[in-house]
Amino acid sequence: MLRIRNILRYAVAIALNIFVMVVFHSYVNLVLLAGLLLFPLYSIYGVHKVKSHLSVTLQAPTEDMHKGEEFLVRIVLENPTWFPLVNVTAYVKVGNSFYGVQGEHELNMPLRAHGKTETVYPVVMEESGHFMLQVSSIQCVDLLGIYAVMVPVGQRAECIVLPEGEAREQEAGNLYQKGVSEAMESKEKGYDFSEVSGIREYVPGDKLQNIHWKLSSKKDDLMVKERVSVSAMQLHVVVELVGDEIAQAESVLELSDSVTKAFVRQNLPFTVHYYSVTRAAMQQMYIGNEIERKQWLEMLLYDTCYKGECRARELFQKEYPSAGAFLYVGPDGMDTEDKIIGEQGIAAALI
Amino acid sequence: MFGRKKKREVHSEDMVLAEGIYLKTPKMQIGNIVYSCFLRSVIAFLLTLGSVGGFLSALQLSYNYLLVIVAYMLLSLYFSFLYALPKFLYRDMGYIAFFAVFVFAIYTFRIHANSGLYVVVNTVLQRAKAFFNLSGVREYETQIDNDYLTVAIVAIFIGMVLIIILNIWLYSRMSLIWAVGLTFPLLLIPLYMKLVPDVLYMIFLAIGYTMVVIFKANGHYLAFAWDKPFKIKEGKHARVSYTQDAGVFQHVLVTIMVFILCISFALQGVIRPGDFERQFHSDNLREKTADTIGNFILLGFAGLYNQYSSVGGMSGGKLGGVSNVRPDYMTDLIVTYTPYSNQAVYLKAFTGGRYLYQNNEWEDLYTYNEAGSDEDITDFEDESMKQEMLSLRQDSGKYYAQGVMKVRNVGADGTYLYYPYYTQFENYSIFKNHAMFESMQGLNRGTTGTYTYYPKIVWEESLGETTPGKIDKSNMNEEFLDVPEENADVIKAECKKIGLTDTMTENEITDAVAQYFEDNIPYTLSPGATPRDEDFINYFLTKNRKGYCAHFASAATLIFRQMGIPARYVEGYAFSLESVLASEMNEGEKAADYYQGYSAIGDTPVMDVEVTDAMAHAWVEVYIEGFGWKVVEVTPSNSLDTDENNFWDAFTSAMNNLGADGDQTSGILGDLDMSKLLWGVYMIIAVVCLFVLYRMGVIVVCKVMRYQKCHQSDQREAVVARYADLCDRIRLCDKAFNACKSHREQLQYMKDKYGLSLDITVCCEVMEKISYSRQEIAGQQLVEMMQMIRQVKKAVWKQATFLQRIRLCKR
Repeated sequence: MLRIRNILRYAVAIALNIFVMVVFHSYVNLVLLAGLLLFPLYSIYGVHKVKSHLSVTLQAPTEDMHKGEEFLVRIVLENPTWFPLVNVTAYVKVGNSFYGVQGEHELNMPLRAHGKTETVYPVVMEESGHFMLQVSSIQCVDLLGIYAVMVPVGQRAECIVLPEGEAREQEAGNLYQKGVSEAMESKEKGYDFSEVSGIREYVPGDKLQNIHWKLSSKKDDLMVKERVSVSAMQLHVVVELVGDEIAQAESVLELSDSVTKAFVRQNLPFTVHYYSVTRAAMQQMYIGNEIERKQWLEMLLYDTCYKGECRARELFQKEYPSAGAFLYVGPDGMDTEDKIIGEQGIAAALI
Repeated sequence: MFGRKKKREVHSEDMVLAEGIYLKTPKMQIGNIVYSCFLRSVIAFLLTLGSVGGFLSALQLSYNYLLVIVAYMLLSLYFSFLYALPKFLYRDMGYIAFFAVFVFAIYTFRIHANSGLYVVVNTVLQRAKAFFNLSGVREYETQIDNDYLTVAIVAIFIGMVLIIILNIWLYSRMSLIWAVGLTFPLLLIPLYMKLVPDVLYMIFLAIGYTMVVIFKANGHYLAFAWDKPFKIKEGKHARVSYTQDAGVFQHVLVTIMVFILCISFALQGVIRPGDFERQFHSDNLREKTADTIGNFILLGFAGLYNQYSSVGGMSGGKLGGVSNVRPDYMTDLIVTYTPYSNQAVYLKAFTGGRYLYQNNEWEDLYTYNEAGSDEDITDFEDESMKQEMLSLRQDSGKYYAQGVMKVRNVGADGTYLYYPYYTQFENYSIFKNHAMFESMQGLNRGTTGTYTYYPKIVWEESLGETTPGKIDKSNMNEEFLDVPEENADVIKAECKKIGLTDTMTENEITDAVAQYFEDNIPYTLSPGATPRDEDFINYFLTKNRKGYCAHFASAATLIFRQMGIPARYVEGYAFSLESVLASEMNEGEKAADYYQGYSAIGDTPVMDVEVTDAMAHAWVEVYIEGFGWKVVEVTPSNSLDTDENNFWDAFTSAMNNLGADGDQTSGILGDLDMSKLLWGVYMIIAVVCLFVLYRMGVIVVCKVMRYQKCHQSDQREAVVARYADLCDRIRLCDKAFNACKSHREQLQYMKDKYGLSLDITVCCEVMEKISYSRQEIAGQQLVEMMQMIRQVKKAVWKQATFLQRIRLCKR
């Protein structure tokens, strides 16, 4: 609509100019007319020139951020041509893949000639997760506002926003001690089971019982199950990434963060288990230090939380029926006194 | 690179990008506000310079370019900055400050500006004169000869006005219509006259227009000091838009400059101005409008609708359309003669016979007679008063005199003769009558008429002592006694007013009329045009009651006729002895060759008198029994006209004489009907005053009612009213108070905001009781509440800003 209005306005200007030129025999208006007629061509040519040379760069923090913390995302348009544009509109999608939320908006900015135009977005995420900003395309409008072209971009910037749980070291330490003792008891009773931690190609020397026959027949190559002794991991932490509401899942993350952080600080090694929606399987990771813990959190947040029934606990118990005591972080409902209560009905309970 | 900033706060002012993701104020390097204002001011600067500079360059006027450019740049910057100020109040104050400077400047440089304007107007008129082949275009006299400076000053003043208006429309709307409407019309004047402005100025204009077009189409032209880099719109179509960017503004400006320069120079290489002009075979516009424009140049706006200003000189008996007379003081005739009397010298040209009602015209007494030349000769002998001349020539008495007068027509209408009274023509047959202009019997321009005349310097006392009834009218042309029926009533009434009776002699009647006019009807060169459908004489005598010589002479002619005295309306030139004394002596001529006989002022040299168009005059000739036709002067000497030599004086004068008599004032811009303009001003002032009075009345009434409520006898109600009044006051000062709904919240707010030591619980309880219950309250408690309210009121006033205090007073 605006473009039509601009075209009409421009046409009226040309018509008036022709009128004055003809009536007054004005050379001045001839010059103006030449300008008026050629400028749209120049302007449109400029847009196309820009279109073929425009580059977009999105920059998000490379390090992990924390929820509630402001971080800057930069949207940089680089125009190497000598044609400036007053109106450039980027179609931006912003979301948190962990919760599956997404929003769209338009970012209108100028495009300076032969240089960069940078817009800085100070963003705050009130929930932890995987922040993602994507520019799908950019609309470039010519100087007269009568012609526009779309430039496909498909650029993306992302960053992990970590949860920030409260420090609950004392409670977590107590739970750990209790949990480990129970696990040790199980081992002494001879129930030291091993579990499959991963699958790799066969290396000479591997036990035959570890060969994954089913997979090997499919791949035409021998594949071997890597097994880890359950009791060697000391304590299992099972995180239930369930959340009918974001706040509930957020509480799971916070409590997980609190507990795991406390374990790492007290140099208490543990193995975390969670159900990955994207892989449709339980995931586990041994954590012995803060770096590993962060890697786990990143991995966790790249995934997606799920709604409805709790899956991780059930699957864990199925996979490790005699794993002994483990720390379950999820919706409260356990009849045990060994637990840390979080918000939104979430608790970390020793089961 | 990515700074961390711990900040947990409510995101009420942030944009929601997605659930749980908030965008705080986005940032972009939009450039310094000062630089933004500078860039934006370039548009107004280019447009103004392009327009005024182009206009002056087309007229080939040279002026102090540097001064003008610097002034335009500073003015554009100033107004651009005004629009960037953080508060509208500051902008208004900036305008007021500028207005003060403007008034001071216009007062200080009024003579310069006036002179500069006249230089420009004179140049335009000269160009127009050449283009339209006009004659007699007036020129305005400049008081300062330094055109280089004065033109620059007037250019600055014109540019100042343009910049002010342009700023308003550019910075609020970026309106191309206003930009073109304000700047291009000035160029139409030279363009019409085929005067081409300098290319450079046209490039400035083109750049300015293109910038306006671009930013109108794209937006982002508003720059305020308080602007954030981005504006945020949330909702379904969420959008983050940048406000303005100096960088892109600058780049667009440079791009446009390069483009326009390339186009201009390339086009000049392809089509030259001369070649372009040759493309047009006809010039319809100029052919069709040349007459109208020519009239406009000669006569101003009035020339466009037949209510023109006369430039002085002869009107040939046509009276109605002249709204005012603006003589140009250019010489029309040069009269060489020897002065002989201290009375005015009359040079006769036109003689009116019958007055044509509503045509507002005196019919030329001597019309062309196709039948034969004898009648023409008789007519001219009658008109030139041959009989009277002969009687004077034959007079051998003491007062006999004979003179020679040479009249050279420099700029007067060449269709008339201009001869002194009682001239002897050698051949009366060659001056047939005035309807035969093509016969060239008038005194053509550049030619000199030499007349021998017999002046009647002393009039015998017996002459004119006859009553009109006793005048022998048997051989008299009946037209000399004709009063149109439609005028008769008015004329009779006027005779009655003057006190004329049938028993009065001719001299008594003429004296009475002249005296009456002198005493009762003022002379003015700006009487206003006679409205359509009105008769010139009737309108003059009944409604307008002011006029110049033609009004008085016309009215007097009919009055004399009504009284039975043969009379005729005459036009020509008249000059006084003062004008003669101010003239140059003609030392090359001998006085004896020019004058012989009686002189009332002794021996005098031959003088060359420059008779200007301002000396054109109308008078009456009455027939005196026993002699013949005699000049009667009825035009009064008292004048309404002020000595307005220039536009500013006229303007000042008009402002000083606000509505004194509703007189019209003439100016260089044509007929500025100041009285109407001032009525408009009056009306506006009256409306504003009424509005102010009304507002003040409302405020007073409200205050009185509030006072009554707060001081009523029922103390409980009084406390409630005072508390309500207090809350209103606080709301006026702080909108956040609106959020406090209960007494407790309100009192808590008062305590926190004004730092008072209130016992909230007690005060709240008392207020609740007073407001919502019928419980009895102790008098002491009520007094304490009132004290508390008074205390808060004082604190509110103390903490209020100046504007808030005004608001408090206004309520």
